[in-house]
Amino acid sequence: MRKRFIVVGLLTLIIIVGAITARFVRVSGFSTRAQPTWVERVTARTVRQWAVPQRMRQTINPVTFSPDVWAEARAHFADHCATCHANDGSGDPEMGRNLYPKAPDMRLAETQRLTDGELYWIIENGVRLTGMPAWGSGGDNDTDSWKLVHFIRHLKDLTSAQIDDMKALNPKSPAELEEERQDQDFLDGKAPETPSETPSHHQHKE
Amino acid sequence: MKRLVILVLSMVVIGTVAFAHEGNEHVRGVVTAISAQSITVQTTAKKTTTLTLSDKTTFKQAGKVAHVTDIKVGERVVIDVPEHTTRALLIQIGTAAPAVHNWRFT
Repeated sequence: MRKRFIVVGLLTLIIIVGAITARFVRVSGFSTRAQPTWVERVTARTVRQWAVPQRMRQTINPVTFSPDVWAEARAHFADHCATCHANDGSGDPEMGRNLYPKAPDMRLAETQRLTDGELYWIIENGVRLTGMPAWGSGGDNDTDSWKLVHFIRHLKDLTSAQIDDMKALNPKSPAELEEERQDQDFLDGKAPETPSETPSHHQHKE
Repeated sequence: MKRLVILVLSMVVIGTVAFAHEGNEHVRGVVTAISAQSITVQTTAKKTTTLTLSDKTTFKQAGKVAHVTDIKVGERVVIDVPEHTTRALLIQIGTAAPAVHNWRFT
């Protein structure tokens, strides 16, 4: 009898909370600009942890770290990952910080304490209900993904010169390329000092 | 049962904390004044804009690292400015010869 009373009470509570939330959502709407609540964060991290098989969690990076491996991984990261994660792994680009949940600052302990195998698994298989896609086929021996694990481990060692080099490898839209061309023409003196009528993705201040 | 309730509640409870949209604007113009604290440029639309410099401001010329002392009045610059601010984030210095304007002599 008491157990039934507790169950009915909990269900009633859930219905009430659900109704309040539904009302709140109808009034306010959703936005990915919001920060996930702690409940969501704990749930998401727990589910992410469950998603990695035990055997994978204990796997050590089979690729030996070297300057060449690091350079290759930097180029790979700049081309494929930096749009959301930023070249320095801060997760601060517009794309990354407006995802829900936000792209993490991978320099911090929350990411760095993940094992090599966990990082590899996330790169290969993505994370459900986030913006992180699966970049690999799901196998255990994608060398490029293991090299990216090395890159993540060495984020704090990146120099500003290396980050600048990575910028040249970041994907750019046709509008951004055109903007860069116009900037360069202006700097080289090929464009006049008069107003440019070309619309810009980044809203040139005129 | 307790875990189930927590899981269901976690699916239901959603918070909303908004933050402002941000992005970088580019300012193209000719330098009319420069100091360690600020740079003033006449933009391509002939507007005068003054932006603040800080230790986070970086400088480049022809793809190489430059310094504030490399900037001369009359030179062309392209400045990255975080939206809704007047902070110069990156200043690219032109390679063209500085323009000759009246303000150089005033």
